[in-house]
This record gives sequence, structure tokens and C-alpha cells, in this order.
Amino acid sequence: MGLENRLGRVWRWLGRTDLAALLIALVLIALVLASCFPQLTPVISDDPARLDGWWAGVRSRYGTAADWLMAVGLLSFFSSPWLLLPTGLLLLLTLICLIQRWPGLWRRTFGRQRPDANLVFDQAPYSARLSPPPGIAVAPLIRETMQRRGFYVRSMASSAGEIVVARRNRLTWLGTLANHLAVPLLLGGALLTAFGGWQEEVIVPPAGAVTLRHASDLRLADAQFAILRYPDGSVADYRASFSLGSGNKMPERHSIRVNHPASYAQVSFYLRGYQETTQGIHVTLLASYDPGYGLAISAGVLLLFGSVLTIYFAPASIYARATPDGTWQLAGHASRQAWEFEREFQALVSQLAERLTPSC
Amino acid sequence: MLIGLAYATLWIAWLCYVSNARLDRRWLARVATGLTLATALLLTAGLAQRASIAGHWPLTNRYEFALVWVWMIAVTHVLLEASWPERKAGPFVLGIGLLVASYAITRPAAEQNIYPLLPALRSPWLQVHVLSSALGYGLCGVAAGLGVARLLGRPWTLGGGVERNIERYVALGFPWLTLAILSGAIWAQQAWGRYWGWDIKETWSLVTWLGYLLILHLAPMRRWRGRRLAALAVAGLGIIFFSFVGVPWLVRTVRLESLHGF
Repeated sequence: MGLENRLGRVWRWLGRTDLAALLIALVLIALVLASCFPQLTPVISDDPARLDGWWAGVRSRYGTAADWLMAVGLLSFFSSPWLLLPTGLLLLLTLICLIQRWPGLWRRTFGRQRPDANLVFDQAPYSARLSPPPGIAVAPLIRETMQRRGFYVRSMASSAGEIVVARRNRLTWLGTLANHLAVPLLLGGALLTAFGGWQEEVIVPPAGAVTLRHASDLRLADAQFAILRYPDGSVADYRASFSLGSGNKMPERHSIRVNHPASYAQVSFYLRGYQETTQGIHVTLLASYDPGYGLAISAGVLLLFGSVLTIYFAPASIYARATPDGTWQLAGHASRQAWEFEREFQALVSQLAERLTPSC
Repeated sequence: MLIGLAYATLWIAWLCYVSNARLDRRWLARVATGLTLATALLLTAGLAQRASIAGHWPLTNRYEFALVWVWMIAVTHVLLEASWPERKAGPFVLGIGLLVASYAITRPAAEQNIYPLLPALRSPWLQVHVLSSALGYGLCGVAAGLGVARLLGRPWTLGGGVERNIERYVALGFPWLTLAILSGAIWAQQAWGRYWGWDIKETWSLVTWLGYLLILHLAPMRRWRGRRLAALAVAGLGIIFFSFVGVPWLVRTVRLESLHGF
């Protein structure tokens, strides 16, 4: 077997669904394993006090095995090869699947297909025959009936005569492409967040100003804090405000509540806590710059869009042609997710048969 | 009281389905369907009453979520019967609903009480995130019930439609699971400044999503049809149950940190 053939076989093997399923299972198992151990995350490792506390807790639980667990990666699973390797392979295979399937799905969606009669009619999963009385124009009747059912209808010439082609939800074949395209976009967003973003806790005093380590031109000052309560005394909301300025610009007053962060110069500020001191209430904020958020969420929306298209708007096609013996042959094709297509096809055949029956 | 009544009605509906499976009486099957519908209506009224008293949607703890989950299973099952009048799946699908409802009913009184909304939950994303989770869990719960029916097989023979419906309800539930994770990520970004932090609840929501993604990839393969597909659907529900009930236990046992009080 030549090298080209071998490479072709490997290429096709990499796009197989069962291989993707195996990697999905491996990633799933890896995540289950990771959840069984306390994980050392960057948030903990960046804070020496929290890191000491974390190690103390781990050693009290696992004793001398703690160092071994760390060495094999079970305590830093999310950055270990145990998770990164199968996840990386899965992402690679998703890209390969996308490249392999793109041309076919694009043609199926936008191409003016000339159906092979043998494949379309003889191998149809759903088929029927109509016996119209002589003198009735069957093709226009079929076209009108299909159009009323939401199909896009056109006629095609073939060696055996006219074929009526009715297609519905043709564009949803692209849903599969959208699903798979979302995965590398999500990876891109995650990488941007991990390597391009930063977070920093800052305590803003009631009087005086502080700056951020990551953005030293931003000044936060004059924090104010209030707790809103329900009639029963329980906490309804936490509200903070502070002035925020940069460079020579006049500082602006910004308000923050839980679930309502403030934003300034692409940096977002989240309410983290408060401390009551003799000088007043100091407000703890989390400052965050995340260039990957938009891309990651867009990928999620694309994934959701693709899933909804594929599952809720399944494509279907119905073909009809006259046969030499005077009958009309119907053939139905639909994606796996066209759950009601069998019933719909039968109802369509019944409706056509009824319309073709001459009335007394 | 409405919730208690709904629970009792669900039990009676389940018993009617079990009896119908043995006796095969049309009137019994219709009574069972009617009682399932009544359960859904009672739950709707109970949840609406709860929302009216609390001043917010009843989606804030595991008790309320379980009730919405049961509601989703009941409604989905009634719709399933409309398109597939095979009532012999009723004992199994409603059995799943009964399991979830029993969990809800046995919650401590403190959890069943109505409280004002916590500051952390004051967001429109609460409704989107929690409702989409409940819808996804409900649809996948129905798929699992059908899976149990397929695995147990005789004496309740269900015909070829059961496997198609298992795959159908897994597929229908999948976009809702995706929306739950997506809306959760958006909400997390607004609340905590990061859309993903490998919190154990987030990790297990991803495990759940991957589990059903795996089922969708395996379902078209011939060697994964039949009892294997049914077993996968049941295993998927097992993952959901662990994510819902087991994760808090895991947090306590392994002493993990988690921002999700849910």
C-alpha cells in the first residue's frame, strides 16, 4: 500500500465517530477523577496564605500520600496531562471532522443536487406508490401539497422524466458544522482568558486612593458601602460605590452590586466583600480583565444554535416521479432527528391519495 | 398542601400505570394519563403559590428545583403519550418522577420554607439557568424511564418505538443542558468575574453534558442500539442524580471548595 493510501486511511480514521466517542468518554472519566480530589487552582497557588491552608488540609486528609498525589497530577488535574491530553486530542479530532465533513454538508445545503434515481428511490427509507386516474396532472398537485406543508419544491429533469424534489430545513445541515466550529472557538477563548487575562483583588478605602498592580494608571478611591435589608432583617442586597479614574481624566463615580459589576477601560470590577474598621468601611473588589470572555461565550452561543438547528429543525426531503406503468413513486429521506417524519410521510401519502381520487 | 396533593396524585397515577401494565384496561390507562396531567396542574398551582408568597421564582434551592424537575417529567410524559400512545412506559417514566418527588418531599423543613431571595440570586439569569437545567433534566429523565422500560423488557413489551423515543428525548434535552451551562457561565462572569472556574458543580455539569454528548454520538451506531442505548440513558440519569444530590455530599466528604450552595 502506498504512502498516500496509508495517509488517507489514517486521515479517514481520525474523523471516525467512534474515536471521538472514545475521547469524549476519556475526558468524562478524567473530570470525574478530578472532582474526587481537592484541586490546586491558580487562585489558591497565587495566595501564599491560602496555599498553606490548602496544603495543611490536604496533608491532614491524605498524610504522606499527599506528595505522591501531587506528583502524579491528581491534585492539579485540570493542568495535568491526564486531562489535557485527551481534551487536546478531542479538539484535534473535532477540527479534522469539521474539515472532512464541511464540503459534503455545504454541497448538501447549497448545491443543486441531481439525485441519483437508484439511490433516492430504490434505497429510500420511506416509500410509497400512488395510482392516479388518467388525465389528472399529478406533478402540480404534488408540488402544491408539499408547498403547503412547508417544503421548498422544484422540478428536475432526469433520463426517466420529471422528478419533483421537495426539501425542508435544508439549511439546518449547517447545524453540524456550527457545533463543531464552536469547539476550536471555545478553545481560543479559553486560551485568551488563561494567557491574556488577569484578576486582582483590591481593597478600596473610604478615604484615600489605591491603584491596581496590573493597571497602575487606574485609581480607585472613596468607597461607600450599604446593606439593604428585607423587612425581616435578612440581607436583600449589598451596594458599593467608588470613584474611578485614570491618567488626567476626572474620576467617575461607579456603583456595584452583586451580579451588577462596574466596567471601566475594559476592566470589570466585582464586589467581593467589606471590612468595618475604625476609619470606616473598606470595600474589597475583584478587578478583572478577560479578553477571552466574548469569544468563549460566542462559541457557546454557536454550539447552542447548532444543537437547536440539528435537533429541533431536522432536514427532510421527498422525491416524486412518474413510472412507466402510470403510477407515481414517492421516496422520503430525513435526518435521524426527524422524529415525526415517518408519520408525516404516511399522512402525506394518504392526503395525496385522497386528492387523486375522483369525487363523485 | 398543593405540593402534597400533587405528590399523592403522582403516586396514584403511578399505581394506575402499573395496574394497567398488568390488566391492560383502556379506562385505567386514561385515568393514569389524567392523573399525570392533574399532577402537573397541581404542581403548577403549588409552584405559582410559592412564587406569589416569596415574591420570586421558586428556583432557589434543591427542594424547589426538584419540584420543577418533577413538573417537567409529568408534562413531558403527557406529551410523549400524545405522540406515542404506548402507556406501558408510564410505570417507568413516572417512577423516575416519583423518585425525584420523594427526594423533594423528604427535604428538611428548613429547606422547604420560603425565604426572601439572597443577594447572590438576584439576577434574571437565575430563571434562565435553573429552568433550562430543569427542562434538560426532565427530558433526560423521561429518556431514562424509557431506558428502564427497555431493559426490563418482559412482561411489558413496548415495541420498536421505545428506542427511537429514548434517542429522541436525549436529543431534545441536550440543547437545554447546553443552555444551562452557557447561561451559568454568563451569570458566573457577572457574579464572580470568571465564566469557568472548575468549581465542582461546574465540573459535574460538564460531566453531565459530556455524558449526553457521548450518547448522541453512540446512538447512530448499530452496535450501540437496543439494550445498550437503554443502559446509556439510565447511566446518564445516574450522572444527573450524582450532580444534583451527590456533589454536595462530595464537597463535604472531600472538603472541597464550592461557590455553588445549590
